[in-house]
Amino acid sequence: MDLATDPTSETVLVGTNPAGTAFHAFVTSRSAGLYRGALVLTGSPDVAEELVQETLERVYRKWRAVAAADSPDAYVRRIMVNLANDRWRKFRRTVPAPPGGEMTAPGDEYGRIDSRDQLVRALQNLPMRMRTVVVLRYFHDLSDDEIAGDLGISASTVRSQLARGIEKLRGQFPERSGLSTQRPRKESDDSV
Amino acid sequence: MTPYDDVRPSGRGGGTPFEQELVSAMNDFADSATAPAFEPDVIARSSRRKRGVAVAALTAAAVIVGAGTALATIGHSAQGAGRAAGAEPTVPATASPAITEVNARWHFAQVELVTQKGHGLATIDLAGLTLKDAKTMLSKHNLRTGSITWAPCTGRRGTVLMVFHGTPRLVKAVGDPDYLKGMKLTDTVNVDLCSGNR
Repeated sequence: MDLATDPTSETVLVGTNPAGTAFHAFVTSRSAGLYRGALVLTGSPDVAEELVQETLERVYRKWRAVAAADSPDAYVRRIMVNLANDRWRKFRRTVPAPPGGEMTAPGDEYGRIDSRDQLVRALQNLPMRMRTVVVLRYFHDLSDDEIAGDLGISASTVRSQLARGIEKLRGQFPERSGLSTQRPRKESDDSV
Repeated sequence: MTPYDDVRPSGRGGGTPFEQELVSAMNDFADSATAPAFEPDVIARSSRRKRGVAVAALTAAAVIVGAGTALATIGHSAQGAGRAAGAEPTVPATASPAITEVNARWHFAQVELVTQKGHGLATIDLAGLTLKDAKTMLSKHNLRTGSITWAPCTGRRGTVLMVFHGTPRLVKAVGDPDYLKGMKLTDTVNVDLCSGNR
């Protein structure tokens, strides 16, 4: 969701009246994507809706800065993840995850869906900062530096949080850990 | 060798089967719910209301810690005493020097004060005020009322219904004159009052 390559980006950035068409266009084109990210981050549709609403209100107040930013999407995403962290600190909202999970047979589609559901719920049990790092990496597909910039932390902290987060998730799914530790060999590994 | 070598994620997008499964799980979950409709108008209104409340709270806090004494010294203490601190969004009197733009919205009885860098500073909400109170409020920011018109409504007679302007933006000549060069300057806010006839 890069605004610079998006055909609607020109209309989004045109205009300085926050109540004008630029803000309207931004909300129309971006709210669904923001909601998807908020949903994965919070694990709750209601909380995600509140988070996006609050984020867009903040965006409205800072619209000129958002529109003038090099990457408005990154700016808005930063607002959202920081609001999510603030909210978590205030309310400590978590979605309780049921313990463990049954093994699913290979090819069992229902089991696969159930397993993924459990994985998402396990994700929600991670500490907020750790969860945010995992979501930014695997859902938003950001680099260490981009995540570090969003959260105001160092890239090494991002890497350690990410490693710990994945380790915790794997610990809850031992049946998958056997697979996960077998990293695919890369050609670069052979050259070393 | 780092302490995380055995579990360090293999890269963006998920390299190991577990990471790929995690990515799929998050995408499935994100697709599982339909995004609700977010109305820009509602968001804008809510944002303005929260900002007004925040400004009112700051004003109240300033009064509590002693700014009220300074304001009373300036005068018009009776005006301030008659109104509950949080009843209407108001702006601190000290905000005036930073204001360079005044944006009156025709559909709200609000005058938005904007700094030179374009950041919203505060909103004066004149809704429901008497003309005298509205004039006092505006005069704190070196603004004045322009044309006064009456409109039928169900509210109290003589109270402000809305403010409006004839030009795209009212700009008040405070601050950097170069920034304002070529723009139509005025310090006047036109007011619609409730005639109470409806």
